[in-house]
Amino acid sequence: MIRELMQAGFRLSGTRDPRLLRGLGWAVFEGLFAAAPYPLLYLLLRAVFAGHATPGQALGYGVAMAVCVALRIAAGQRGMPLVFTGAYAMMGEARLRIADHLRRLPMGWFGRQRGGDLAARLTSDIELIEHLWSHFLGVFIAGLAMPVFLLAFLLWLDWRFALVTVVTFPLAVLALMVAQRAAARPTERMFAANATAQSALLEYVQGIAMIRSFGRFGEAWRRLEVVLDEHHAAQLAVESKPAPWLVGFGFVLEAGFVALVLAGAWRLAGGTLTPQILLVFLVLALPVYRQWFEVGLSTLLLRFGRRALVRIEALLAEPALPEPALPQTPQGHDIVFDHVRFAYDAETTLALDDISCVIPARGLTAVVGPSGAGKSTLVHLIARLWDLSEGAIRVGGVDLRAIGTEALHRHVAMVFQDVLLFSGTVLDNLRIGRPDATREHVVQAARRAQAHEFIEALPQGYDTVLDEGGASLSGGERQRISIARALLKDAPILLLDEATASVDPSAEADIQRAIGELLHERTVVVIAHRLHSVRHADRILVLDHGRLVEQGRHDELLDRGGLYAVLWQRQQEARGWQLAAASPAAHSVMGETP
Amino acid sequence: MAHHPRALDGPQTFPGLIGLARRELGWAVATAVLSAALSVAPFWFLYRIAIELFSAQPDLREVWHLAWWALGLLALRWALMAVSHVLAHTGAFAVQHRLRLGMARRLGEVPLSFFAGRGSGSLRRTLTDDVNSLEGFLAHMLPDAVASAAVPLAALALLFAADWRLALAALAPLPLALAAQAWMMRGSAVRMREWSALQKRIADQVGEYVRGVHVVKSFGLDARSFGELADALRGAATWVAGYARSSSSGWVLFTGLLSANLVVVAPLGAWLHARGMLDLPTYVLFLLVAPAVPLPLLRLTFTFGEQMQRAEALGRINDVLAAPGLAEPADARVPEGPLDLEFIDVRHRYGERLALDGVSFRAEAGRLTALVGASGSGKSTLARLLPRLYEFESGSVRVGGVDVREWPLDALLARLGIVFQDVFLLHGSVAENLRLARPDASDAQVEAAARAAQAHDFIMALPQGYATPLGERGARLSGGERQRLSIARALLKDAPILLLDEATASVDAENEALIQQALDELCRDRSVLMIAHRLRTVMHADRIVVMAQGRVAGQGRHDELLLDCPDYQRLWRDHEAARDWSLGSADRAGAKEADR
Repeated sequence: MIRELMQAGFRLSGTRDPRLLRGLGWAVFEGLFAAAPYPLLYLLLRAVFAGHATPGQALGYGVAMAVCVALRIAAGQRGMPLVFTGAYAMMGEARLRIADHLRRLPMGWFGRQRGGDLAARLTSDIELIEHLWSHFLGVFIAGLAMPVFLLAFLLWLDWRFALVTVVTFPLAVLALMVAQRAAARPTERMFAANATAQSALLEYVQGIAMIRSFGRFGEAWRRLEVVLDEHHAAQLAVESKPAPWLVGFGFVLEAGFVALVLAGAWRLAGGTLTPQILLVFLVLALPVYRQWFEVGLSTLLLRFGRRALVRIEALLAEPALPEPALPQTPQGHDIVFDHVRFAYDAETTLALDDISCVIPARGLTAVVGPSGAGKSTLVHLIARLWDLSEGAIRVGGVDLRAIGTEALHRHVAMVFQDVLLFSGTVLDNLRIGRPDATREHVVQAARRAQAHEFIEALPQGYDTVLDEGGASLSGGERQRISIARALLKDAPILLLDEATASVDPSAEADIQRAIGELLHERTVVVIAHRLHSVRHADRILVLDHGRLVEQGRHDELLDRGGLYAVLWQRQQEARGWQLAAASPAAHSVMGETP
Repeated sequence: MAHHPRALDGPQTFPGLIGLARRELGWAVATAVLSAALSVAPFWFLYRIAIELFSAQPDLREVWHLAWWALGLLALRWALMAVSHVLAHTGAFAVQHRLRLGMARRLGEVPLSFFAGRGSGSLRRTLTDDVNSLEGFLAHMLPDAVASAAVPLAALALLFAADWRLALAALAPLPLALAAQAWMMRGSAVRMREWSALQKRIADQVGEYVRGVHVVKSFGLDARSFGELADALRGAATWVAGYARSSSSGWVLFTGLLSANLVVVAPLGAWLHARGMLDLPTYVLFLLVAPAVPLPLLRLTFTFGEQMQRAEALGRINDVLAAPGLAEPADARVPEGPLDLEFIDVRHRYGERLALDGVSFRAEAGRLTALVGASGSGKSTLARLLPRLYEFESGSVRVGGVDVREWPLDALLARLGIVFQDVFLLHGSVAENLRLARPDASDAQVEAAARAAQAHDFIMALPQGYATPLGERGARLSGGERQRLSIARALLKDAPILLLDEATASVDAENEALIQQALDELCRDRSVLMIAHRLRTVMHADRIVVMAQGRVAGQGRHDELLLDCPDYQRLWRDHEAARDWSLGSADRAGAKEADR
């Protein structure tokens, strides 16, 4: 079990910190020197019981035993810092590796996870293992080594009697195994309950505004209570189910000591044992029992560690998006969809069904269609947030999978529908697009995204520290920062998913103008709900239920009288409806507007 | 309606926590002490056995007799230990459960400004891991501490009864060990604070990384260059290295010395025996019992080190528990009559940033009032003040003529239906998410709300219809679909006041038109405050309030504002321009003619 824990740790971190191994080596010495005073004690006792011990002898043994203690302390002092430093360095590395692995996973995987649980694996679970490694491993090994050495000594002394010392061990081990079995299911339940509680609490904190809008202690609260109640019950089960067996383990172990006394008395009566040997055994066997009990308890703790390991290793076992061995460089920035099929889950319907089209380099391509048609999916596939089920997407003639995610990200910038800002300054958030950008470049990008003015008005301007998620900014402001971030990145392909939905009209017009300027040298793909805003696009892709039903320029599509024409007609009607709903007075004013 | 969880008032102390489960923990301690005292008892019988064995004529029947006694007491000791263990954990978990509920409840009561500056990741940790860490104190340290005192005392009593000189010798390493421990603990409070801060940083960074993984992916950020994640982890490793270097000596010295009293007792006993000052059975008793004296202390110290971290954890828990909730006056009342919304000279700031600067206007009951203005002008803030999500600095916000601070908060919230700009969906099915608004709504009612919000059709197209589980954040629904769910939810609540913050920003135009029609229907006898960027969606509002830089720049009907409000004129002009503006038209002459 301990071996498994260690090897898993090496696997997780991908390194084998030599300090840790050296530290554990010292722990074995610590155990050896912890056991060393006992043979000396035996010699002393033999002299005492034989009745010929002198005060000088007593002093001599005392000094020798003190030296052993000093050596033990010295070994501990060498070993402990090594174990701690090694363990934490390795676990830090493990966290980075896991975090790095996460970003290589397809987005689909994240859709199936709960954020709180995922974060908990990266924090609480790893911490548990970290703790086991640092606080526990060294102590455990030293604790295990000491009784082993001691037992070896007893065997050498009188092997038959030494066997009596361990006569209850099988029974004790059995009790321990039953305890572990009894703990297995409650442990599973507890981990599941804990994962749910972590996620539910995170959700509660993040969604507090919405939750409160439906009453502070309403349905959402009830749901949380159910989760917390289950967590409470699961905790109780984990502690109470194995408790009787654990106690049995302790009892059987200590009863071994009594058995030793009895067996000793019996052999004493038979005359095959001297009282001296019996007493030596009694004195020396006691530390063995005490240590074994501690070790036994620890194995239960190890179970938790193993469970945590399983959870973490499951993350690493998730297949990442495959990376090419030899990344190819795209020649140009046109995007070709070649019979692309894609489903979010194997069992659900296709989100994109046999899409083939060419998005020419430079210029504007708009993706339109009714809601749920697959517009966002199509754009996400270009950024390779997911991998295709069938077909291929090529950028500059090279399959996305052959470009490799690293290189692809240099070619593609994206603005998402839901903006995510990180804690840190405004400047940090903008520089995500290009970490080495000068301040001038940053300001320039912010100006183009109509973000400069409001950023300057913040208390510390670009150096204002944002709360988590940019909570103190308005929705439109956050969106403009995310646009600036993408503009700063200055990639040849720009993907915009409803980038200006929350931006006020004044800023929107300016942002659209700024994007318009990019069209000469960039490939821009936009998702638009308002057909009006993309009627001048070089190419319009019309999606419906995951299929590409039409493509072409605005006029061509209108002439065809297909879905686009219908959508256009409906939107014109919707615009008209807004007018009709307005008061007659508004109509007359409408006539006056330029 | 909603039932209130048991209150947990204000910050807690460690003794206070014990008080929360007085009975269970009290009995746990009592049984732990008994069990600990009994752990010494068998040695008394072994002592007697030794006397028997060393006598000239050992009576083996007496030996057996004594051995059975020892075994019996041993069994009792373990039985008591089991009882203590289960009781202690029952008490501890009950306390933890109450703390969690208490904190969650408090988070439901504080203004949202409390959350600003506190990462959701670290709050999650406080609610889970920090509370979990208290188990160590309540279920382990508390009984251990008392038992630790009991065992050495019982053992010492036994030893002193047998021989006081050796008893003192057994205690000899203790002062040294304690000195080593004090040395080890020096400055550890400060260190633990550093450690907690590092762990908090790591938790927040990890939380953000997971939450923003789509951004991380699309910007090609890697874990090593993500914010301060790598820094924080490296910082933690360095901290541990420093800590281990400076405190491990003290620790090892402490544990080494504590388990070393045999080294003093054995030679001294032999020496005394050699000089004829000590009989053999007493010597043996000491060899057996003396090592047991400091052992519980050892376990206690383990937990003592953790206690420092627990103090930090309790500090963070108290940070939540002690946060002032929204005050509700004792004489809070629900006003009769129409529910006008009224803002009177309201000022509000987020940190240093002034968001509202003396805003006054009135939204009449049963009317549609629109809030328009550039983003960042304070519109959403106004909507957040009505449900008291934030406490404003000065002025008054009134609903039905009564200041929101004088309303019973639950009654106020019950009258508000809100659609937020950012849609938040919970982990659960579509139907569960809708029923958040009204748990007892019938299927027909749920469907009616969904139809009104133009959500029914797409819900039916989902794999399992209304029973389709939504991932967190409603993954896989489009922005417009999520918004329609959020509208349906607010409609289902059927509250007399409706706050719509950019409710249809991501909805496509034709659905927006249909939703608008539905809203028109619903707005008829409700007070509606609607925030909109697309002026056309609100141009027929009964009153339009124009916001500019945290102030009211004008109010009135659309036509009135067009005549006399320069800010509105500019907004309208921009709006119309943006409406007609089309991407890709900048460099194409005569683009306008394509608009037919």
